[in-house]
Amino acid sequence: MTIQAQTTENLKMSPLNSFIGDDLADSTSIAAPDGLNVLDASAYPRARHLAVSPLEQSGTQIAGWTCFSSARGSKILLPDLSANSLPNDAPSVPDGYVSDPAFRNGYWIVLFGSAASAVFKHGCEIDLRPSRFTSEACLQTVLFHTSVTIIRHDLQGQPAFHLFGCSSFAHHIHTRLSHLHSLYGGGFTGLEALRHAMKSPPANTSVSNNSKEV
Amino acid sequence: MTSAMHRLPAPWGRRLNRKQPVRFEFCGKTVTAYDGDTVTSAILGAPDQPDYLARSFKYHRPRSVLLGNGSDANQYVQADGIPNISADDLLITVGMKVSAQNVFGSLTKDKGAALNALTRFLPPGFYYDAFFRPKGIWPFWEKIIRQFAGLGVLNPDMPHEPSEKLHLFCEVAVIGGGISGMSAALRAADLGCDVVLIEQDSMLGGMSNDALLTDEEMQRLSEMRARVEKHQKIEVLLRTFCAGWFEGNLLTAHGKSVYYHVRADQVIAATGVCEQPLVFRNNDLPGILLSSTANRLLNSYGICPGRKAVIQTANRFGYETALLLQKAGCQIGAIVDMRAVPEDQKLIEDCRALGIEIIIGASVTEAQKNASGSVAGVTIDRINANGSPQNEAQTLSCDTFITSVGFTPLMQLLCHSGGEVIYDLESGSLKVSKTPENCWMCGTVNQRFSFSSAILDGMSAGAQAASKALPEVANTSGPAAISDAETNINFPFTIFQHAKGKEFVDFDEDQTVKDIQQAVSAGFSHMELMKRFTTVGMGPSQGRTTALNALRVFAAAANMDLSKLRITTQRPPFRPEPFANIAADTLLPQRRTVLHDWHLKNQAVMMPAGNWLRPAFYGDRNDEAKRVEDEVKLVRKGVGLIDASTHGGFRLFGPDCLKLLSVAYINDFDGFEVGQTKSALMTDELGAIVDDCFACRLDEGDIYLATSSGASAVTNRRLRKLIIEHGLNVQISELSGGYSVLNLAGPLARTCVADLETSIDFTENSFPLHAFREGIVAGIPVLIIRGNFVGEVTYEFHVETSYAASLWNALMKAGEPHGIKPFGILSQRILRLEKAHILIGQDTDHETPPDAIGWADRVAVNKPYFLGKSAIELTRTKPVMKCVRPFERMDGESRVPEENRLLIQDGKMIGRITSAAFSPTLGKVIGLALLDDRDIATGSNVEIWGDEFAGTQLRLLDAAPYDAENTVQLQ
Repeated sequence: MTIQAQTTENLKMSPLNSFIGDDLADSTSIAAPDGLNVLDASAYPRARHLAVSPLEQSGTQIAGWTCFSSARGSKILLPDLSANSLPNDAPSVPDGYVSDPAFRNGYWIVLFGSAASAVFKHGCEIDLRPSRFTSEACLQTVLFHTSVTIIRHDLQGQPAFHLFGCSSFAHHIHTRLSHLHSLYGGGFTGLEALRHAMKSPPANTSVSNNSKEV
Repeated sequence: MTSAMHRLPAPWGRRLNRKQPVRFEFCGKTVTAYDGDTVTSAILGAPDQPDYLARSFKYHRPRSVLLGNGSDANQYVQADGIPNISADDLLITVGMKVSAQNVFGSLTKDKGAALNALTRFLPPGFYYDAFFRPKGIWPFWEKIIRQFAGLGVLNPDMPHEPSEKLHLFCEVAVIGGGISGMSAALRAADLGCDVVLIEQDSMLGGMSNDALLTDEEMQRLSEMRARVEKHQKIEVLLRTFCAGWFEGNLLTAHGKSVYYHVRADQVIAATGVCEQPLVFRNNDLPGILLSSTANRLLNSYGICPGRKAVIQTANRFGYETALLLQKAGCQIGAIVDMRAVPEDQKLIEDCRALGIEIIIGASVTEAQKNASGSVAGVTIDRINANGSPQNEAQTLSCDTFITSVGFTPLMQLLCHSGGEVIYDLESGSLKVSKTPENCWMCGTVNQRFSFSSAILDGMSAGAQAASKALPEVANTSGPAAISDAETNINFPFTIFQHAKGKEFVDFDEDQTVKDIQQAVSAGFSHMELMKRFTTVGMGPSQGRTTALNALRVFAAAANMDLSKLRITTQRPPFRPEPFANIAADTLLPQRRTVLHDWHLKNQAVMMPAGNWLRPAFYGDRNDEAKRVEDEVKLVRKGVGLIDASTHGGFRLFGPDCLKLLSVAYINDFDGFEVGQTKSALMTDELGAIVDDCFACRLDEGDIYLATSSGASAVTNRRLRKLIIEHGLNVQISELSGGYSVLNLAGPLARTCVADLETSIDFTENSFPLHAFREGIVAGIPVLIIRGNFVGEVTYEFHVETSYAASLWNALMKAGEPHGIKPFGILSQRILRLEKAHILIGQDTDHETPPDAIGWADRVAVNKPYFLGKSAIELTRTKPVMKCVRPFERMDGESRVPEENRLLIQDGKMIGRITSAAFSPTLGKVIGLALLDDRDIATGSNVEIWGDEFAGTQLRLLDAAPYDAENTVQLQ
């Protein structure tokens, strides 16, 4: 028994909305391509399908959506953020799966720029070095003392990460990322900026394991 | 003031930027030094400052720099308000204010030095024996002793820079950036490993930076440093010391305002060595230095320790320092070599060629001081093969005396993680006999003292570590390079006791040879016991300059075999850790609902509730009582809206949902059909209540579970554990934070929702108490539960969080004509107390069973299993059962007794108050009490125990104080 809203899109609000605002949406500018850039994608559709009795494994692509496998056979579906228009709703749930209602209501943040992977050494106690946590990998862990699901999905060969977490920690995550901007440069960006980065060649600087300063 | 130490011109002092003078303040006087100077080098190099910057801990003797690298206690200062800062490491900055610690008066005229004359009355442990008679005298002495103990002054108001905490991961971590550490790091990195290199100094190179090197060695050192700094696979942490080495190769390290947790597959200890002092009378006078310290002062900071030096040595390093000093213009009075047959012929010839007198087979046995308390000369004597003086003493004048008689490996970190150290009779030194798992060591800590052998040893360790960390490297790294250990560095006889005492073994704690001997005489005949009684090795040096000599003195005093003795246990931290770093990133985040900003804009006074921030009430924070009272009345007479989004909530999917509920909760779920709801209790293995829930069966395999806020995490864990234990096919989606809950409550609640555009019929008959409905309200999909927590008509709107703000605004707008206002948790707590609704965890304890709150008939004892079943059954066999009862205060007073006030009846303790509040609705104090025996009669009176409320009478009730018949919530 699933009841869909009739005209609800304008009633939705990102949990980061009050900190970041809407004015970034159409800007293509990126504060520092070689820094830490952050897109609040919370308002965009996504889905996590939990497996209750999966009949078959779904593929990695579902009509414009990218599918990432996470724990216990569940799937995370993300839209192609580079597409000119984003879908309003997630694709229908296949047999054997149910849609996780909590997943679509938390924050969704995309980290990109050459300092993106540096976030983890500030707040994550597991080894997420680019050599260990490879592109397309998905895991759930603790970041800045909060539960988070992380997907690595590279842009132009440079590590980029999708973070999904509870909306109640959105302010906390925003505060911590703002602090990291003061260390690495970069800032909060809009979707157009991400698209711009996806089409541009990667910045010359690379984040290695060799950063001397925090 | 006469100062033997003096600044040399360039090129001495390679760390200095002489074009940039820096002025700062030391003990109230302005000191001018150079950019690149540390506080230590700046003070020692200043002509109008003493040759020391600290006083000793116990006797307040002037103490000059000992190691010069921040590893001992005789250089701690108070800097810009922060106590116990290492002056050896602290670079001076313009305007910095530095002062000496542990002085009574001034650094040069310390009244505490009078304690020197009382030495014979201050043996180890004197305070244990002296200050307990007559009875009750201890507090008097305690004040005096505490004044003398402790270093520096803490300023609690001083702002501090928050520290950063970083988590680093690597295949290989190298502790120590000397030549062996660098070569190990390079080798491991070249073989493909990510490497973290931890170096406490501000530049790589270690002791080689200040040693006498050939041009070729200098060139190689410079090239290695450059390669390491540029290597993409090596992360270099400079000015960072490793404090602890824990299980699983977790290294804790501290930089300036940065705290590192480094996790490495393999660890290479290139920690180096610490030079050991010679123990003789007055061996702590200013002007007496270790050769490695003298080298550092000369080369790094351009400070010559004196104008005329005598050098005591037992290895090549003393000769090398003599050559450096001679080059710096210091006259060398003599080199005194303890060895009967020195091996360093080339160095000896070089020194003799410069006209330096060399005395073989002798040792300094005493130092003399001048009027200002610094060294003025030394007495030397011939020694025999056992190191005993032969009474052929002569005196040599000097203003600095430098010793190099042996080294101790810096094995402390290795020992933290399981390494072991023995005394090696052959080499007369401490030696690491066992290394921890996945650990390698190289360089001087591994007894490789020459430049080339240290590099080879580092390469070997790097290759071995890499081959173990990366399986693909194992076959390509080739055979490990081998280098031979050098063993002729330490002289085994370094203790020269004098009849008049004052031969210091421990420079941190002011412990002498005699102190150790007295401890042994007192029966402390084990190293660990002796350490605790004397405090030898317990200062900031952590035995670095103490362990070897203390072992020798102890062995002689206790007549024990040195080779069978062990040093005392080494524990973290290796060096004192900044509290600010340890405190970094320890605060847990507070959760906020998505309506947080709305609450603030509407004058909410926020308060923590668990790990959430919630509105306590709305309005003037100085008018709390009135505001809360108004909110209570609003809900009782009109309508209010509360943000209850902190609730716990789960969605259970899958064919085994009901089975999960059945094993997790005490209730019977047979006949729980789609569209129905059920209240249930969860107990733990002891049969105690841990959580409650309200379950809505949305579909065959789809259940919505609303739970309490506080126990959400615990319930989540229990449900997941039960799924695994019972092999259930259930998927859990935790909704806390993902779903928001907005509670509309009050007699006008139904009137409000009637004005909303909705698909749901809210009339009493269509939507009765404890039912749920799904539908659209104001264009938003919602699930609504008809609740009764506050005892009025209540609709709990459960909504996806992204819609919560819109729904909240719609409800506020709909309620506007009816006087709707938001209310906070303080008024909600009173409202629920008026209805005697319990809060699990507040009104229950760790052994309150369901029977105690009137749920006995809902325990499904016929189920084959549920969590806590057997414990509940056992509880029921006991004669006495707890219970929770509402109460009211009888005397009409409005003062509220605090929670946990004990209750008595007929002089016996019968329980305690768990919740209490003044009810604006009823005009009296009401509450809940947890009683030890449920047979205590309702309607009977009990008293509050204790001074403040003594004798206050409470009446126990058998039903809620407000609306006992439960009719209001049905209207």
